[in-house]
Amino acid sequence: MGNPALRGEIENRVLTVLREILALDGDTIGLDASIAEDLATTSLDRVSLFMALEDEFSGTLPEHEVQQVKTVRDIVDFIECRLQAA
Amino acid sequence: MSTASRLTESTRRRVVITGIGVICPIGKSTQEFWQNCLQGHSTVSPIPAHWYQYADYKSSIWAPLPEIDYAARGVTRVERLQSDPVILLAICAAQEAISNAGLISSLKDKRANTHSIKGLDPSRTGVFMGTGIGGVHSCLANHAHQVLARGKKQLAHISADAKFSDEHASSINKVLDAWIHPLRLNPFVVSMLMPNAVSAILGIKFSITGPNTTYTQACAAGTASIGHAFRAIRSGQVDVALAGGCEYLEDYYGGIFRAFDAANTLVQDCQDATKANRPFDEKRSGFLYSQGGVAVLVLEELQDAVNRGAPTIAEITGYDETFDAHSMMSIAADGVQIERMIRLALNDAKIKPVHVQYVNAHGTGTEINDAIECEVVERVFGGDVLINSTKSLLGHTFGASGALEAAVTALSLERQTTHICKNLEQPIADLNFVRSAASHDIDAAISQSFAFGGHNAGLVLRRIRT
Repeated sequence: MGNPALRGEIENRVLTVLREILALDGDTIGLDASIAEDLATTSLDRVSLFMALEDEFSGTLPEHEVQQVKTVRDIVDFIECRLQAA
Repeated sequence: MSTASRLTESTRRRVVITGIGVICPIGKSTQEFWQNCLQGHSTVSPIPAHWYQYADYKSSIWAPLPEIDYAARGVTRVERLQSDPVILLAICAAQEAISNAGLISSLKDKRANTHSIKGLDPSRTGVFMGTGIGGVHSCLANHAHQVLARGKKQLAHISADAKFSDEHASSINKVLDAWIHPLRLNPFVVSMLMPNAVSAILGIKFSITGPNTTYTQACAAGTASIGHAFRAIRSGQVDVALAGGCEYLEDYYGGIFRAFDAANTLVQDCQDATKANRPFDEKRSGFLYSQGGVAVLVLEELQDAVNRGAPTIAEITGYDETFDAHSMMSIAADGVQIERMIRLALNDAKIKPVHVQYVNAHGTGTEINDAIECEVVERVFGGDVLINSTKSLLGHTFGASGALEAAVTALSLERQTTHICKNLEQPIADLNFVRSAASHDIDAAISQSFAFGGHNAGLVLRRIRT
């Protein structure tokens, strides 16, 4: 059973990082948005994004696992999973 | 005006400094830097304590940089994560120089955080930056990850499995903890460590598409970059240039410091840290290692600058460079190539030694350098010219030093004031060293730099004549 408060905090922080790194306006990111298509990111953008998420959550996100992440919700799930495992 | 017609006018084109940006141990802005220069202020501290875990050193002090709030200066998280500190210094100083020149930069690409400079033709604007070691900080940090990350984990497991006593386990963990490295290899490390990043980043940041070059003549790099920018404007190749030098000399382990220390170049007598750094003094014992620094100047063709109402700080009227062809680590004892460089630079400026009132010397504080520099200054200028060392205040910033000293020389001409040659109690030569911050009538000045390898470079600057 997940922790709703933790989940909500992670969502907020992930969305904040996305807006900051991709220079997106406040309400344009949905949890089901595809990182590659909907957010129009290049491969370099995605490297930058995951570096910023590492910085935000003070950890490392292994590259082979990051490649499985397709949507914003996947990011939140991924980080929630890693924080709970830590 | 066409490029061809500009080239035919090359002999009439004049070059002025219209903006300066500075970060160094004694200032986070040009204004703070200059005020601290005039007050003879220095920042000297013991080297980081953890460096002693890795080695012993003959020198024990350095000049640290002030804390810089990069976010407050508009540097994004992406820029911070993907840039060596030397790049961040260059960005911030360039921003200040552009602003002080009265130029307006506006956001061009929000995601990339790039700007364009209003009123400039980007194709006729150049970037000329100097650095001695570029992004070596990032190179060493990421190399530490490469070498240590897996080995540390393996040793930690071996230590745990061996069931050492608490005392032994604690000792092993202490060693492991001292092996510092980043959490991961930075995917952008190549673009962080390459020396040309310091000029490339300014071209990208400010959308400048003219010539973009990095000069790496060690401690003469900052002087050479400004000199070549001056030539590019005077010849008609460009109309505007960002030019300067930058350096960042800290690494996790103190290895860069140790390299200079092992070569016996650093200040040895550190009993009184406030007086240890003493260029041109009988008791000098080496140079004060600085954590880093940067100065970026905006250079413009005079008439263009006047037409847009830009502030004009000083004019650059001459530049030249020579090479010792003697030794990688010491300047030639006869000083012949330094003297030739100075005379060439003065000829380039169409003035004679007697017309120069102020020499901003290389003035490191090393035994041989200072002695030879004094002999050459006396041979060329005689004993009346004012001479001082900006390194006596802020230590040696290597590839940034020539640019910082050019900035000081320009400000000295504009304000008709010089800073003190600090800690000079027993001069090694009967020259007119600056013994106190005071007003002087200065029309022409030279700022000169010498470098490991044998590079000599000098800029001649003049007071703005209205």
